[in-house]
Amino acid sequence: MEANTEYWDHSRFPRVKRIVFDNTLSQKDALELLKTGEGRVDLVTELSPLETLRVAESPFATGVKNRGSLMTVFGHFNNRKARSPWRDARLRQAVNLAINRQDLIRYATRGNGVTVPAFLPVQSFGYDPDLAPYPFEPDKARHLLRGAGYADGLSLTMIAPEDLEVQATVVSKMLEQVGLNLELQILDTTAFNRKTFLSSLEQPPEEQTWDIALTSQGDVQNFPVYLHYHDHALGGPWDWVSEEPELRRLYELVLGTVDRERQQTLIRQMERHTRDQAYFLFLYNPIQLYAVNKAVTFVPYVTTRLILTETSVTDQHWSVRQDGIKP
Amino acid sequence: MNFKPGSRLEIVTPQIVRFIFPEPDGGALAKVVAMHLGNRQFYRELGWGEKSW
Repeated sequence: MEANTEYWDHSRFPRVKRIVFDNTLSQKDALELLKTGEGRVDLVTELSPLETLRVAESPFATGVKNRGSLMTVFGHFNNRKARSPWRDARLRQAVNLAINRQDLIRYATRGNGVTVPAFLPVQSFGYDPDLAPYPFEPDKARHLLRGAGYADGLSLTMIAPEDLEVQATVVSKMLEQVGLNLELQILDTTAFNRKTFLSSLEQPPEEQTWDIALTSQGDVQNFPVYLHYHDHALGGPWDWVSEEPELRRLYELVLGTVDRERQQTLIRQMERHTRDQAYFLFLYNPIQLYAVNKAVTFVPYVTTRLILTETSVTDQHWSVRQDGIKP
Repeated sequence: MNFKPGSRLEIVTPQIVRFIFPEPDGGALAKVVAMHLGNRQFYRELGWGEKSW
């Protein structure tokens, strides 16, 4: 991709001359090239927390953290399967109360996460600072399970994509502590989508046997009524909540006004309602991790989109340095 | 996330366009952010959905 040197907006003028996106390398190979030399790979996205420790030991690369991303890691409850137990709010609330989010973030992400009170992270439009996350209250979770008719426990199937395997493992252990029996299935992206992406299901929704599906959602628009609420709860491609009149009412009100303060108030109502009804298993807001050549000044975006407008290189970068590439 | 029927676009200058909607659309700016400008061949031969990937 070549810089457009005739771009009209000089406040967003490109700072590098050429960027090459190489999709032929695996992430593992790209990271190795970045860590062990220069001239081939300058930036690798979607790092796992474990990999950042190895990057820190490299003479060529450094880790960059993107705090405040508009990403949420959460779980769908399968309300659409035949005789779904998840239509009972007590069960959904019990599962939320069984999660120790601080421990989840500590052990599954090595601290690279922030708790969320409901669906939206702190930088999202409509985030409610007065809304508290579900507390870790296993006794109350067991009480709710008994009240919902599961005094002897309940056998559940949880599915997760490969990139959330550690998180899913930790969550499953926490749920077992309140008397739920978990079968965890880690699936590749295609298999996961065939069980969750409503237009590409291998079997109809009512025949999907999973109970909880861990996933993540970002927001390139910072307008969460679309990519969060519409897509996951109001008729969108991953709507496993199924029809929910109060959310629908609030959603229509948000779209019916251009008053940003009014929209924010309404989205906060959506958040509060969603939290109270526990429509999802709320987990955390991940801190996005990147590995970057030390001579690249990388500026990430909260949307996590790879927009490189403000990204530049120093005079020590291999592409501009007089003495060429280090062996 | 399409604009409602009756929406119009006026080209004011080479750098400025004006959207005109039949009624208030609180999601208009978000729709513009997510607007797809795909090659017609994409829509004709592939389209969205995992089966087409």
